[in-house]
Amino acid sequence: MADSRVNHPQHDLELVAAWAAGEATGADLERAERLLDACDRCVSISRDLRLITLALQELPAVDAMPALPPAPRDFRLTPEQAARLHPSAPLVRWTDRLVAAVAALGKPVGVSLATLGLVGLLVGTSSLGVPGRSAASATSAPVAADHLATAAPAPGGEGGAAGNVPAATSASGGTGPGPKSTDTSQDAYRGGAGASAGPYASTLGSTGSTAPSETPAPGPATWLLALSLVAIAGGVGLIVVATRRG
Amino acid sequence: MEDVRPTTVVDDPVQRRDMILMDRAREGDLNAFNDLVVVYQDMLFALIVRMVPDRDSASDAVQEAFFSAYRNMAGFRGGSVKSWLSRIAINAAMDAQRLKKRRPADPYPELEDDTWQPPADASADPVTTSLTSERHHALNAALAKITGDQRNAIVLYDVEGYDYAEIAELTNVSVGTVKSRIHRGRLALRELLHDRMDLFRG
Repeated sequence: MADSRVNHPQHDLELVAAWAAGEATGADLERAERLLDACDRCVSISRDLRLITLALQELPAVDAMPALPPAPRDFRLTPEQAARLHPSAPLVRWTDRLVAAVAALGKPVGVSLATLGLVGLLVGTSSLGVPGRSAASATSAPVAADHLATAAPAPGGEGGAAGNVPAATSASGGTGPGPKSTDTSQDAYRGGAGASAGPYASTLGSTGSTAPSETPAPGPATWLLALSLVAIAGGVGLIVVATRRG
Repeated sequence: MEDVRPTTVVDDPVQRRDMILMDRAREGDLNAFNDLVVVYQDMLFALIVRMVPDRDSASDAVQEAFFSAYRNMAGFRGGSVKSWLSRIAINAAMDAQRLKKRRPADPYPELEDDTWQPPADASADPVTTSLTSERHHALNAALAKITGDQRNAIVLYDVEGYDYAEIAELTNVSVGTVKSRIHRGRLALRELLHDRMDLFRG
């Protein structure tokens, strides 16, 4: 047997281990045998591996132990643990987590929500025509105006669409040719409805369209008001729940 | 609705007892489940403590295994309750190893724990007994120092007698990977025991 210690570090020791375990087959078996013929260190390793394997198999399997070391503690489940582990428990756990999260975050989130709601309420109220601030209605009126513009072409000029909403144009000092309403805030409050009730009702009528005079779509300001109220209610609710849980 | 039909009738009295306890446990009898815990807790701890070289972690893994068994009782489809619990415990042990992966392994627990010793065989030669004991200690200490994957494969294959396919299934790897882990693990043990090979030649 040649001693190839110089090359030993490059030798495939996993192959030697497979050979020692009797698991090298085919080409691997041939390679292993060539290796073991050439390297006495690999032979020594394979011998040690067999001894170690025998010693491992000598360690008592748990089933074969004459006596088992006692477990360091009692692993029996308490009724509380069992309840927590019961298959229906995940739903309960999620509910508990949700409630805990509400309790933890409820106050700051509730205050923020209520504050946002109040701000929205203020903005929405002023948009809907607080006297003297009807200019803000220009933000809401165009929607209705756009809606109506298709049914009732503006009398002309740039004020075309806006002209359908006299309040808007008049309040913002628009140059639309439509007659100005004398009751600005009231018209502004009516939004799109103002168009049908206003001076152009006859125009609309002449085109055969009567729709605008029926149910006007709520404007953005109305939506803002509604959302603000919901936010305030939700915020207050969260604060109450968080306070009770806390 | 959970399927809590009684499992198959078996002749082996131990399995029969286990089946009865399992059926009762699945019907909601916590005492029946705890009877199974009492029967198997020492066995599972002895198995797991070989895989997880830290008594506290091994203990936690066994507790987690019983939690998991209780949670998944409905999934028990008959057969050996002991094997079913062992599989759950081995999985729990592997989870525990993953959690501890970044911590260096402590010395193997039994080496440090002298509070319990296996009962001595009265007929055994004291010299042989001493040599065997020393060999086991050396092996256990070396086992604690190799990687968890290699240790699991070696403990399950060489010590507990599982076959390659079973280990592959338990550890979610291929048979080839199991063999490789065993071979590499034995090579690592040989490196660690290089200076003490006389113990094994005697």
